[in-house]
Amino acid sequence: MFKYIFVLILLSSTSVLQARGVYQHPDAFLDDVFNGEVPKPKFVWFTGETGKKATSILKHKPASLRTRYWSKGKRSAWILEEIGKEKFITTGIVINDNQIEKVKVLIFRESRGWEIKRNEFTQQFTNATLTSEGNLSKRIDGISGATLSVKAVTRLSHLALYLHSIVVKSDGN
Amino acid sequence: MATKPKKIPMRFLLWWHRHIGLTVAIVAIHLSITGILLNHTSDIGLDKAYINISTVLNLYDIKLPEQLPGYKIENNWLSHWNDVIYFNDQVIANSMQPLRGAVITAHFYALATSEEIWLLTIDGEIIEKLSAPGEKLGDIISIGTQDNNVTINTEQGVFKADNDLIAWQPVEADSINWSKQAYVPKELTELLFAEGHSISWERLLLDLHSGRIATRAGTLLVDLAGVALLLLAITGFTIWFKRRKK
Repeated sequence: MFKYIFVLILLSSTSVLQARGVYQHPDAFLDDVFNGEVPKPKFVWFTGETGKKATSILKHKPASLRTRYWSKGKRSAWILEEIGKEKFITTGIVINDNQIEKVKVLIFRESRGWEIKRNEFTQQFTNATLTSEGNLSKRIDGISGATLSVKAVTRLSHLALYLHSIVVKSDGN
Repeated sequence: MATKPKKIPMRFLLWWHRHIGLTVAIVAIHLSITGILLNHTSDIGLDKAYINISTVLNLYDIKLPEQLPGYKIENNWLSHWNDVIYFNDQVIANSMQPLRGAVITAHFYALATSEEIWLLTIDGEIIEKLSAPGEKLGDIISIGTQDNNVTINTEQGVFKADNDLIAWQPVEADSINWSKQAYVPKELTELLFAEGHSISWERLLLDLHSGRIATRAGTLLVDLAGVALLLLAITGFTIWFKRRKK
């Protein structure tokens, strides 16, 4: 009996240990994305129409007035943050030719919902695009117990696609 | 010859069912009310509403600090208290990392936590959060300016940023105006305490529901109530079953 209780305690503590932390530093993520040749960052300001659209995607005003992005050719990388339940989740998103190439949870600060870091979840975003109505083209399956974290990453992926479409126009790519 | 198991007398069951019910009634009402409210905290905004009742805050050991450390830029105070960073009495954002300083540059205010640099407007609105120097330069110890450029003292040495805070170059630690810690005026500290922002009503409800508000004794009481409710269900079912058989 005590053996089972011990195993249960061990399993639950392992799950808590997995929960919070820096899974990959944003710098290391960018190094990976651009094979060590990270381009100089540019900025997008959340003003005017961009601000309104970002507010509508996030369902609240963006937490900062501008965000950085790194782009080379048709690819752009975004380090974006969104609150899950109470704390920010830092996510790295790569867009290639208006499609999501990669989504990776970089820093997770919440006590619950860490399951979103799993590849099985983040791979659902691969190849997602913006529909003609400006929505995310793919339906993302949720994770039980991680609903708010799932929604946060989904909103960020949607936002990254929208911001990419804006900068593609302004950068003339 | 096997002996027939003794039947539990109905009077015994009824006595226990009644007394357990009466004993646990208040706790059951408490658990029901807090439980229902907890299910709807977001709907009624209890997760975003903060407590400013000193008696309740004292339960969490949150007391008005004698002296709250902070950093003054122009006429504004930046401070960090209970995982919240304040611009005067406004909440800028939550941060678990300690505040290391704040400076003014030609274009914006910049504050440093141990891992991030936040650029702020003169009204305290966040322009951008930068975590980039974290891995390469180590934890930030202090922030200053040199020729109007943000400069940080890190575990790896002193580094100066370019105008857009993109590239960081090592510099000599001379002629840098380091941000100096001071104490937030008493009136502002009292205002921060009065406005709360540390414990939400949702957190209070959760701690009331689990009994954690009264530390170990409270948790134990709720545990006992849980066992009592279980016994109540068992005795109730047994009484119903016995009566049904008759």
